[in-house]
Amino acid sequence: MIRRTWAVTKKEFLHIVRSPGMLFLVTASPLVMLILMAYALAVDIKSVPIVVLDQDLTPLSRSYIRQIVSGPDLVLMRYVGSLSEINDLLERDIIRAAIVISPGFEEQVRALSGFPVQIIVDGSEPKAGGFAFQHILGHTYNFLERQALQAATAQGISPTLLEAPLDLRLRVWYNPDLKAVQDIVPALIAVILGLPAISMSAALAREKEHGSMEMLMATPLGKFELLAGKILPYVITGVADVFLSLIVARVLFGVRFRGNLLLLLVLSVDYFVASLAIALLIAIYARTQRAATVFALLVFLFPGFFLSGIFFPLIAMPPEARMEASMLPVTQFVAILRGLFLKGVGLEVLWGNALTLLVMGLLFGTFAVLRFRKKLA
Amino acid sequence: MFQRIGSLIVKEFIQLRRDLLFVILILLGPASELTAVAYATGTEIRNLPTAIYDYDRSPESRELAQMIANVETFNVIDGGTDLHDATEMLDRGEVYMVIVIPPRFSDGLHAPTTRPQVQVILNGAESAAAGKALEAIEGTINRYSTDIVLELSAFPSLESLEPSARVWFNEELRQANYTIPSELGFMLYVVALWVAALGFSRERELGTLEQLLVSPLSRFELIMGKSIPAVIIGYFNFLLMLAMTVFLFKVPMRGSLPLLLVLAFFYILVELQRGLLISLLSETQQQALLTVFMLAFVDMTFSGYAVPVESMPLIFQKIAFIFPIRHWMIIMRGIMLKGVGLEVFWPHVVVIGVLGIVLTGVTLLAFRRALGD
Repeated sequence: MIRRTWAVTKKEFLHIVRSPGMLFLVTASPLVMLILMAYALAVDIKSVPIVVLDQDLTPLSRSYIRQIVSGPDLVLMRYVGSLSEINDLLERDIIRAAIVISPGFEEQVRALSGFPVQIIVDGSEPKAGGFAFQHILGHTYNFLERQALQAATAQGISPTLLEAPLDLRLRVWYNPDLKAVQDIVPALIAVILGLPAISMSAALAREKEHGSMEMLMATPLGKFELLAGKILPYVITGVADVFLSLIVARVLFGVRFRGNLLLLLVLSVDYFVASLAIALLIAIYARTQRAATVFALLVFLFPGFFLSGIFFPLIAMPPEARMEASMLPVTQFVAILRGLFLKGVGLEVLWGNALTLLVMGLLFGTFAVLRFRKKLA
Repeated sequence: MFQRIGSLIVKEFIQLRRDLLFVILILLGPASELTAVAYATGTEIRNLPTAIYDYDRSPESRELAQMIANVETFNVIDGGTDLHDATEMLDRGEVYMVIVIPPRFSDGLHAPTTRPQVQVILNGAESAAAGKALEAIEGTINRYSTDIVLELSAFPSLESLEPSARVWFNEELRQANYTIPSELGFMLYVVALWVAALGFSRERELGTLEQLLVSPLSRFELIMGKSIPAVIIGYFNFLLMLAMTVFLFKVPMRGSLPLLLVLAFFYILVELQRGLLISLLSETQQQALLTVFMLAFVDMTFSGYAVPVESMPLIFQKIAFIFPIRHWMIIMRGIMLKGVGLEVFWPHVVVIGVLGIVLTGVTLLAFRRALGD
């Protein structure tokens, strides 16, 4: 049986190796994608452009502006003269926020009667807009604190009493500098390695479309041997890609792997078996390559990006959506790879994800073998 | 000529009817995917499980804990009494933030020389959630300490000194108003590209391309016959998803709807050229499909869904410039959220137009090479 399965595997490998396009797509393209996407996507918002409309033009208003632009987070593009100019810059996507200081700012702040400042934020890009808003608020609080300190000193209250009354000791575990690259790269590996499943769906549907499946059916191969032989090359190249990705992650992006390599091997096989079993089932139901691949696209590519938790944490989804997301192999693999890369945890934590994948693989695999008819329609 | 193109289109649709699964998937798949995604990622990141270990148990520490619990970003859960439990919960991803208020926190608050500590441990394994939590906790602590300073000095309370804030275009900073149009734009393009990319590669692989070439169809008619079904399917998807976006997901439609409809058509035509190009250059369907997949990854990146393009490295911002989807997103968000028109985003329309012309030229060259003339 093993010999016969291996024969099918060898045949599949030959198909891949003979076509330069396929060879690239199956072996090198996941790595190329990983490198490109990690460079583009694993970035943090570092600074956003803003403008200021200062209608007060007093030393205090200038000192407030200095406070606002004291860090690298907010970049003052220029001073503007009117609200309509702000409107125009926001509409053209040139700035993400604006600060309007009304006349009487100095007077009111000195008299502690108000803070006539308006912050205008571009909500059409909520990530950058929210960033700008939070940072402007932060700088404003600091400015107010400083004003309060000065007022207190003037009244003879000891400034040491007032200075930063709380000492916030912040520690970020697993990712001390809170760099997006550290958790996005492992997750991207999982998402991109949906490609083998898509290739396989297409390859199998192709044999159906061309009628070469019928020839295979006429051989003494058992159903299981045939399907296992079809899956194996993709499991092997997939696992190889996982390990090559480790090197890429380390060398190019400085993302360390903290887990156990053997466990990574086992869980990768677990993932590929689950995702390929689903791909197999898709290929059995689809009559053409285009149907099989569009199916695979809807099951692997889109959800990989939108539902796997790579950019949007699972925990923040509504419970039903979280359920749905957990039923995708890629979601489980994202959690596994983040656990192994960042936390260095083992099966004692990841057993739930591993088990889910195993159950999926067995369930869909069995179903596929049962549904697959070695007869002609 | 129109009759010949018409019969080719009829042939395409007959072939589609035989492939029912594909038709269902291509017509309803994107819409159902949009629903799932809008539902799952439409809200802001909030309710992150947070464990507070209050070893002080004073009115002040409870006030701080309450203040944190009131923040929408956090959902305070029972972390037990032992800090060791927190370690395991962090490992398992059950808690995203741990806050430790040490004993004698309140004493320190009132003593003139000491600054009481508050320890915060963040789960950095998901940087998006951690970043949000960091922003929120810093804001909360900042407010808390500003409050104390203001209280001790002669300043009035913070409320009267708060700057007023206005968010334009998306008043509640609703994430969904950004992500749903992104997904809509992305799926629209994938469908058009998908159908177009299969046009010729499928015929070639199945050996029927020669038959078409020896038929009285001219090259132009052949291209039209292949393109029109792709445009029809793509545009149908766009209308369906746009209706869902506006009526079901309540994304505002502030600008001119006719303008959006016209530009969408124009945009599909440009993406179609890319699809035809792939179709002509691929030997097999499999190659065509996997090329579309790879392109889809790249386009997804440049749609700005995950990260604003302006935050990417400069080289990627430059590359994004030649991807039609980048400009299309700006146009769509401009019309839907900002309610602006051509007078604001005309440069992007021009870029898409130029890209379309260049792509059409390359496609024609490829067509001559691939099919012989």
